[in-house]
Amino acid sequence: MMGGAVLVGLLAIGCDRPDSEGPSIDELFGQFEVLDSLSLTTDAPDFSVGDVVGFACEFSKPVDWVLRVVGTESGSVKTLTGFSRELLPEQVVWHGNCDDVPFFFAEPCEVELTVDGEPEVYQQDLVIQGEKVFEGLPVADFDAGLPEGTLVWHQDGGNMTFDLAQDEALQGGQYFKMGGRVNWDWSLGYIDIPLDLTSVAADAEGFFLNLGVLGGLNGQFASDQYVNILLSESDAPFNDNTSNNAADIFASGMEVYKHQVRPVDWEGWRYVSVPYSEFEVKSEGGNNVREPSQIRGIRLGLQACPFNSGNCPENGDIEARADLDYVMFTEGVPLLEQE
Amino acid sequence: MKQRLSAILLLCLGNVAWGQGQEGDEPRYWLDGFARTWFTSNTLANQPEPSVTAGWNLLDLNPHVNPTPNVEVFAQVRVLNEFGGFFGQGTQVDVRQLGVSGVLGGKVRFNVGDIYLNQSRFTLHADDGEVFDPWGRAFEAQRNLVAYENFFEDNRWRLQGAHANAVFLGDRWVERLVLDGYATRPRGSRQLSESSYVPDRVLAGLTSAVTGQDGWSGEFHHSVIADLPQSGTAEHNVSNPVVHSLIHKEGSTPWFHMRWTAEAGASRRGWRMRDVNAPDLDSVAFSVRGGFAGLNLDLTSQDSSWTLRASYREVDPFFRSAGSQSKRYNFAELPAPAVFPTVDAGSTTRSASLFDLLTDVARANQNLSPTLMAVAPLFDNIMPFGLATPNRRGGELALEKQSNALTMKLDLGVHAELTGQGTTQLRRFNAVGLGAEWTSTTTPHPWRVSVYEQVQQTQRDGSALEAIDLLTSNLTMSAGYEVWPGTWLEGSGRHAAGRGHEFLALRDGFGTLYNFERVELDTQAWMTSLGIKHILAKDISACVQWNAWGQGGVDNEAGLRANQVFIVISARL
Repeated sequence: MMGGAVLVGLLAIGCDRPDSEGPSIDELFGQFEVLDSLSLTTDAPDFSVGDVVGFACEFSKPVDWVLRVVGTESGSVKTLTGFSRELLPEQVVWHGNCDDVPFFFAEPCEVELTVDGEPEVYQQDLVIQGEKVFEGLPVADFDAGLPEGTLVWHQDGGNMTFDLAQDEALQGGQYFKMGGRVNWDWSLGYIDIPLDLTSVAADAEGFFLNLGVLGGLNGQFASDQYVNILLSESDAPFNDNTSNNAADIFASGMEVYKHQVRPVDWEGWRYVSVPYSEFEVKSEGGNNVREPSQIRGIRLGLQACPFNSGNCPENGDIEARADLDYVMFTEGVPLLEQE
Repeated sequence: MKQRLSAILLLCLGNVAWGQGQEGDEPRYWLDGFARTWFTSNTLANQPEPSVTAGWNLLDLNPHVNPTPNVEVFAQVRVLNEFGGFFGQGTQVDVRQLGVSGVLGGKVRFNVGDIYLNQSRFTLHADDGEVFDPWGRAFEAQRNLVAYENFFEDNRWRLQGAHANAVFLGDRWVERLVLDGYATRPRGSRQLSESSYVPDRVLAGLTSAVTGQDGWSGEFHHSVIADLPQSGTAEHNVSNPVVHSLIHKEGSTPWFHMRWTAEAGASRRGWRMRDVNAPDLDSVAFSVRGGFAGLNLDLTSQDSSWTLRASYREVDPFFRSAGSQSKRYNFAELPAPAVFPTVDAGSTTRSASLFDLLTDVARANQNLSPTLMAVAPLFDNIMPFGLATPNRRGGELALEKQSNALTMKLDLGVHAELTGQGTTQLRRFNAVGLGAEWTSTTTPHPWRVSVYEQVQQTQRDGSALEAIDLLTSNLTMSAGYEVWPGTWLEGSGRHAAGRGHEFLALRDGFGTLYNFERVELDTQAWMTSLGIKHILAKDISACVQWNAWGQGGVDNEAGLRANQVFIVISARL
């Protein structure tokens, strides 16, 4: 009786059992061949009008592949990766964006496809006819000067640079330099910009602040230098009390949220994106719910460990620096991930 | 100096037992606990890496309170001070366990809080895993330490929730009926960001067992692990119900006692897809179903001098049970080994090996995994998930013979896959285990020696790429000699070696097999231990060991070699 029951059980579980599970080992570990060489849907995309580039290639087996587009003038890079037997042009698509700044120009680009474990590099060329236009809510690109209503404050330290500059702009012709040397305080200065985002419908999770940050001076970085970002949802007047250092809406007691790009320990530009949901409560002046449409202003400040009061004697011989450019809010995804 | 004082303090606490009596002799509240001082110093023999030391003092203090004679409230408060911490830095104080247990109405036993559960081998069961030693003697100090820190008790998982059990006695067809149920939460909902939450994961189960007349009995187990979609924002929420039923028939002859067991069961695992924008729409994706069935015979001689267990079982390739297939030891690439994660002056990442398996507290796993975890073929390639290992058909024979001072074991296993992986060809598995333990307690200086060797062979036909011929060997030895009363000279050793290669299955987050990693197993790993254990008092012992371990290729004399000084002082309060 017991044996019969077991037999019935065995027969029952044996139904619909496949012969094999997973991809074929013969294919996975077999000889690698390119069955259909790398091709592009277009070699002259104009991203400014919404063009995209699709990539196609077919291999003899599923492989880990890496496809890189490199701008020959800008040095910008876009990387696409995957594990598949085939690159399908409707799935492997480039929208003209980049992994990190600099952005692509209208320039010639090299396309390189490499396969894990294989020495060959498969190449193609293309020429960008028009740069991608990123969508978003501009805060400041500094090309036409400081945004209207902007307030700038900085300490009376040495070599303070809280002003517009043109020599190393990330995008366009101007950027905002923040730097200098302050012995006695963490805060070197900041720029306050009024905002009106009442038309924004995104929630905090899907609302991103994007900004370019340039760090380093002659290959050196001040210890623990960082960009301190405050977003205020306060209804108080932006600059009611002109005797203050800057805008009133960031004062203690106001509804203010904070995020720090810390440390800024790189040389050159990097592009940082952070969702509003990752901002922490700085002062509990409101409902403590991050509501993008309620944002009334942004403060972008430079802070660094002071050499004579912050246990950072090494900062006595170096100036802090974290310059800013192309500050923009985006909805849905970070700016560099826009399609 | 501080550490020395702490050790003395802990040892002194071993003599402190405190309680207050209720009426009569029954205590109303009392304290017990556990204290341990642990220190290691690790040195690589042929590498430039500097030596590494680590250690801590800990005190686990357990207040027990009986508000009524049938109810006990228990908490475990831990104070841990890492070596090198000063003036409070490096010191942790936390509540490690909390629970209430008791009997309601003289019938229903219950536990609430931190509970330890083992239901059945196919529903909820913690397999011993790759550290298994049939004699339980080898590297006892290390294994006890890892087990204690990870709440490993027998084959039970430590969970948080509630558990109740009741027994009913009959006098006709049913002599005894046991009902047992539990509801736990292996993972709590947690906020990831402003608007995203990981959902609650719950595990619940019910067992009923009936003992009838004429040697008949039966069991039915049901468990389900599931994410609660409404408690989080995840798009994929696992659901994994499992059933397991058994029928037993016991009988006797003048020579032996026997017990037949027939068992069968089934599982389903899938992910409930939840669209946050359309919460009413609910569908299940990546759903797989599987079953199992088996027949076991247990024979025990009337004088209990020998036992024999024979079994045959089939477990479907898609049988999935998070409660019984989760592994106690994690062989994923992360976490990195706690000791010497890199070698060759930091240029090479060291893969976890036998030493880490036996000593790394963080390598052990306390979580139930809804997908199959990574395995280590060098240590076990046939039943890495215990009896619930999917895709197996085959039989086992286990024989144990006991005489006065000698116990011998013989384990045989012949298995095969039911479905090929990456090919229609099936793996075939053969296993032989042979061991013995000699124990002498009658001589002036008691001693013991144990040895167990397990050889596993994995073969697969097919093309040159598909074919597998893997042979692994795991030898475990242990010996002890009481030099003078209370002081033992102890030694242990384990050597694992392989020859051949294997394909590890790579699965995505839904358990779908999408790729294979070919691993070369012409490799070996070993660890030896020699030390002295001194039993200071009934519940206090101190152990000092010199350990040596290594890993590398089978034919590679220049493999990694390391030494370790290991000191542990334990006091059960």
